[in-house]
Amino acid sequence: MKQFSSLHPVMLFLYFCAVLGVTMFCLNPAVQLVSLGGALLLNAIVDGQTKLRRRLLPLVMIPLGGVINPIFSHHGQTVLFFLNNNPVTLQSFYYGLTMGGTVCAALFWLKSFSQLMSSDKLLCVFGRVSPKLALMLSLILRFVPLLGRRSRDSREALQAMGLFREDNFFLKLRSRVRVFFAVAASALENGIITADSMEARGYSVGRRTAYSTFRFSWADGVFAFVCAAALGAALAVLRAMRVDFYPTVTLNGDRSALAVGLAAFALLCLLPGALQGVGGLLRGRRLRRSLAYRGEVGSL
Amino acid sequence: MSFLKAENLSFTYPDGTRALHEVDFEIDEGDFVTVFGRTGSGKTTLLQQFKPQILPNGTTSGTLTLNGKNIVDLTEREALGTVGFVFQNPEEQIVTDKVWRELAFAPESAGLPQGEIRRRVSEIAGYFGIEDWFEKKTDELSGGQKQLLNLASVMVMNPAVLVLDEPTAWLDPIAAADFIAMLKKLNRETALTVILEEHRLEELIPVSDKLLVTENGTVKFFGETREVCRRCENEAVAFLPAAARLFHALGGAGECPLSVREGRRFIRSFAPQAAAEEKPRPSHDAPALAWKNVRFRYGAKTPDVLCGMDLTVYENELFCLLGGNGSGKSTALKAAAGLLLPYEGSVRVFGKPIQKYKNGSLYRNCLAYLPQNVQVLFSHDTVREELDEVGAYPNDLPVDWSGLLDKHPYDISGGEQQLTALAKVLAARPRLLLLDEPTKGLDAPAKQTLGGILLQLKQTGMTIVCVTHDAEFAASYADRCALFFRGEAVGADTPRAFFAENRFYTTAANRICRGHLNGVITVEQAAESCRQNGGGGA
Repeated sequence: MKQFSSLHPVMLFLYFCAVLGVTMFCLNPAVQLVSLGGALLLNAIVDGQTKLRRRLLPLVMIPLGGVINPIFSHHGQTVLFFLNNNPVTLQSFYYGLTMGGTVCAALFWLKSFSQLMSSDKLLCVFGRVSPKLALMLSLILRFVPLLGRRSRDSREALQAMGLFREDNFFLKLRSRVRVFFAVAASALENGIITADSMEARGYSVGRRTAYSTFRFSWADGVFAFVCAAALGAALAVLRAMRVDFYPTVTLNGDRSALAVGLAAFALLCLLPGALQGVGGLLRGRRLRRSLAYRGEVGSL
Repeated sequence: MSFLKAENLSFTYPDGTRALHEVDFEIDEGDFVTVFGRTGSGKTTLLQQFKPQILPNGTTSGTLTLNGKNIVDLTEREALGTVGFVFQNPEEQIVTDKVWRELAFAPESAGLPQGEIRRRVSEIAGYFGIEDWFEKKTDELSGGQKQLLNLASVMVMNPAVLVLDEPTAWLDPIAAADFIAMLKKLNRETALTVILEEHRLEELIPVSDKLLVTENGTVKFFGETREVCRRCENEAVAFLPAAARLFHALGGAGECPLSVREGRRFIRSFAPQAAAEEKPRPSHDAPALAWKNVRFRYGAKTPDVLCGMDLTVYENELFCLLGGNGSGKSTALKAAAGLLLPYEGSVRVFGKPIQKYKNGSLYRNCLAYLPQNVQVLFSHDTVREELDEVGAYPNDLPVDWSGLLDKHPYDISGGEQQLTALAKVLAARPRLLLLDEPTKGLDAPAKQTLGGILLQLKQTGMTIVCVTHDAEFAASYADRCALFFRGEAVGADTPRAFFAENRFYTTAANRICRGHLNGVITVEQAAESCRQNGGGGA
């Protein structure tokens, strides 16, 4: 069994798109709750470093939504009280909580996304769409640290000539502009060398391919199949799962459709956490066994 | 039919200047050819003829054929698999952010399928020993690794001819030797034809099959290495390895030695010389620059780069601090220039702690610093504007500025850039000049010019501290030298004593003469000693 994080980048990317899509377009507290649960589970397994309090910070979005929405939205049947002659309604409060839950769940998913998708994985995904786009991103990733280094070199050189001074605002501004021009000149002039180098390595030969070190495996296929099935089931009843908040909180479809949709969506949301956790445990056990085996052989 | 053949090859720029003039040569498959000549003699233009994709604007006449087929007639795809080109600057020719992606760039351009790219990239990474840093960012590599990566990224397309434009000019001696060893391995094991242009030829000439010397856009000499070395004259001699220069200085009769080993055999016919009486050490004046127990590190958890460095440079001295790349000698220089604040110890300039210089007074009539990459000093369109910006006194330097002033600072040669930058920092009329690798990328005549200028500046009373990995330069011009190793300056002494005591970190002339002519560290001294002691002939 493969861990979630070692699945093919394209799988990861599509998975995050699907989960975020359903979470954001299906307003139903139960859906948000399931999504949040899955995101928290994955987060707990993947992110071991951040402090718990800091990690749970996005949860604040839920009560915040509950407080803010009624102030601006006055729809709904059940009036709780009046604020500045405006009605504050129960439905508006529920809507705010649910929206807060959506934002909060999305934040947790995106956090995991940024932790699991390295620049290599992202470029692999973009390379599938357009090799040129992937190359351009790679060029930029190469260029940024280079420019940073050069601007530091330039600042030091100017400083030692007494031309970079930060005594007052105008000197500071002038010094910064000077460094900017020196760096811009070197970037443009030396860019010609990079262009020549690309040309010499066949940049304009014709259609590019995008190479990546990632490969599809059977685990990706199984994962894709399970996800597609769960997503398909959830999408089929998506309209029925929606909840209308105004004037009263009502479910769009019947309860059985909601149950089916929720079950499918729960499977989708809990899959990464489960894969990552169980996969990690199994891998650890196999690794220990393998190391112990070598120890036993060594002691014979 | 010969492998590579140039006939009446000429190249003219749009403004009418002729960079190449009716060049003829023939190169066999598997030849290792080294090209050299003065800056502006047309070497780079000659190399670019092999790769029409990177030719500047201009017109080519005559033909350059590969296996009978004109190189300009190759399609881009054919050219990619036929001729590989490696440039001088290790940094700028890297295209992508990761090592493995850089290796895949050329095969991706050719549109090869995934499996084929995987096989080629794996194979080349294995052959070049890149496995350990395969996943690294290109920005984190050392200069030597970068250039090796550039070579590998070109070799991944398996070209029949490899053309290199001063590939080791920016590398320190150890990285340069590694690079040349890799080239020779490729040449020997795969019969790759190598055509290489370089200034630093000490290690390169002994492994070359043929030499091509350019002069004013023509081929001055072309032929077997030993033969060309023997026939070289005047300026061209300055490019040769120490052994060959010694041979020429002593009249140039018989077989020309190329390597240190052959040089040692060559001087055996001259009478030996005992160690010269060490001249009394010059009495020292007041200290101009002193590092006192200086400690510095770049990050809280990284190791110290300067580990309690102690060194004093006296007034009116030309001091060379030698050491490999990454040993921290540039950091030591930056600390002396007040660009870094040591967390322990102090730096004193003319007896006064550096922090006591307030309001930029350190950089007025006191201290000047020239960084390793002088291009960061340039931000104007002409050399004249660069110099006027700071009110420089270019005529103080014995340089002919007439042809330079109206040129773009990026269009002039490396040596001229160095001089322009030097004139710029001298505008502040410093008494202490700090130079970081001033000989990087310079050819032999340009180094001589720079050395002459430094000696002249010293005569005006200036103190000069020079960080370099160029042992030959330090031996010829320094008053004292020290080796920078593990964050400390070790063994400060006169060049004669310093290099004569070193066995490995020393000049080629010293390695040739050790044990026979003692206390000799430059070719000039060796020649002088041989002439005085007599002997020679066969």
